[in-house]
Formats: sequence, C-alpha cells, structure tokens
Amino acid sequence: MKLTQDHIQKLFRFTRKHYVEHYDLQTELVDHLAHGIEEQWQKNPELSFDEALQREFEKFGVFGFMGVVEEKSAAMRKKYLIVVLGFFKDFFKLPKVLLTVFLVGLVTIIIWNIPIGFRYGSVLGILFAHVIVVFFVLFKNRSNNELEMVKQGNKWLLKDQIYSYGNWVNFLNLFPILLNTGILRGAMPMDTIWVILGFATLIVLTGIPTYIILYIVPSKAEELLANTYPEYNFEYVL
Amino acid sequence: MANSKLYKGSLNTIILKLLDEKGKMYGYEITQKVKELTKGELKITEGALYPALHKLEAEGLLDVEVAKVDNRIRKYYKLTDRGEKETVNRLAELEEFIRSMQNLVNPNWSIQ
Repeated sequence: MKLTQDHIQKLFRFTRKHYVEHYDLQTELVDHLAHGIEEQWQKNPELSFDEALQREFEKFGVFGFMGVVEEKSAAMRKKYLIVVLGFFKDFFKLPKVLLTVFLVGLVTIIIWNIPIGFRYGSVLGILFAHVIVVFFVLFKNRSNNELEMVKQGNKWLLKDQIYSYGNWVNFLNLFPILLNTGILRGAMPMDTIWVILGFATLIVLTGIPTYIILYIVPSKAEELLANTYPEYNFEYVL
Repeated sequence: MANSKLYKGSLNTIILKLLDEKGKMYGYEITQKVKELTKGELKITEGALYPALHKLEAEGLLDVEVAKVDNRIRKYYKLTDRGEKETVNRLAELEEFIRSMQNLVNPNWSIQ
C-alpha cells in the first residue's frame, strides 16, 4: 500500500510540528517516514497511518528530530563558513590581493593625513560606521528574504544562513568596544606609520568579510542553493 | 551486549563503505542497511544516522541528487571524488585499528 498525497501533507505537518522548520530537512524526513510507514503496512496492512507514523518516529529516539535538526544546522554553518572562507582567500591571491594591498595603503594614507589628536576618533568612527552600515543592510536584506520566503512558501536552511550572516555583526561590534578602552590610546599612540598601518589592516580585514557576507554570497545565493539543494529548482507538484 | 560507543566511532566509515559499494543510496536505505549489517549488536537510531550523513555532506565527502519517487522527493547520497579517496583512507585506518586492538587483546591471533 502506498501513501496518498494527503498522507504526505500530513507528514510535512508532522515534521513542522516537531520543530523541523526548514524545507530541505522536511523533504528528507518525510521520505524517510513515508518509506518506513509503507514498509510497516507491508507486514501489517491493518495498522492505521497514525500508529505506523508514531512507531516510525519512535525510531528517532527520545529526542525525536532534535538531534537531526541541530546537526544539520551545524553542518550548514560549516558549509557557509567554507564558502565565505573560499571568497576571503581570493582577496589574498592574485589578482585580488592587489586590491587588498591598495586598500590598506589607501586607508593608511587617509589616517596619516588626519591630525594626530583625531586619529583614534576617526578609526573608531570608521569602525562604528561599518557596524551601522552592516546593521542597515542586514535588516533590509533579511526582510527581503522573509518576503521572498513567504512568496516561495518554503524555508531553506542555507538561505537562512546566508541572510543571517553567521553572526558577523556581533563579532564586528566587538572592535569599537574593545578599542574604546582608552588604554590603547596611551599604550599605542597613532604617531608611527606602523601603528597606522596596523589599524588600516584591521579596517580592511574586517571590511572584506563584510563585503563577502553582505554582497558576494547573497549575489551568488541562487547558485549556491541550487548546488547545495538539487531539489531547490525541482518542480514539486503537490 | 556490544558497546555501541565502539560502533559509533566507525559509523561514518560504515556509511562511506556502503556508498562505495552501492553507488548511490537514500537515507532510509542507508539506515536500514547499516542496521542490518550491525544486527543484534547495537541499536543505532535514525536520530544518529542522519546527522552522520549531513556531516559527511558538509565535509564535502558526499554529494546529493534528488528524484521524484511516488509522490515525494527522494534525496540520494553518493561519494564525491574526495569521498572516494577518504573511504580508502578511513578503511585503512579502521583495519589498522582492528589489527592493533587484536594484537592488544589477543597477540597470537591475526586477521590475515
């Protein structure tokens, strides 16, 4: 006996009820449960759908789908990080490394031309402005993604990851806070080219991942999603 | 009863070996086959097998493809080129481990 389309829909609802919110994982679990139920029906055709489902679900252990969801999220975070790191490495290889060196040089010259008394304030200002811009783009893109998700009807784990930017913003927040201690000002006055070069490198090195996370990865999102999820462009007729 | 911890450490290798033999397999098929192979010795739940599959996929050792079967989508796993190389390595490691353990437990016995 085969499952009907109604049963499949019930299984999708079942996975959602058990905290599997992403479509990629839902489809896999639905196929698994469906297969398991059909196999049980072969041995025992009298068994009700709900009973067979319950038995199949119990095989996932006391925590149900929780472990699967957690591990899948961790695996996707890893995948996302590998993608970002791949783009990041490009900035240290020819030809993009020239751009990196140019940017560090440019920021160094800009800071060098600021009067000594204003240099720390300016660096902090740049880093704060960076955080603010990230926040702004983040919320704009995130709401766009949610809108699209509502239109599309399904939630994809990697897509969520792409538009939540792997907590980069929290990490960015740290810099101005750490620098604003006042201790650095005394210990490392920005009066030599090396200190300025150091700060210029810091600004560029935080700027590159932002550019990758906010622009490069989302612009390639469709391609990445299609590679990750063969079912992403799969016509799913319900 | 066998200690399932001993098996869990080798779960990834078992999955890789299965895919190496069968080409491509889907989740349910893998879980049933692993259960069948380790029958009576341990109980690995589906809750442990899927995470192992997803982890291997994230590591780039497995690739996925989908097909519409009956009225649902089925996700198949297969080894990537890296996965194939890694399978050879991991099997060699596992064999080495078994040999070492056997030498440790019973020095007069050999699997060769």
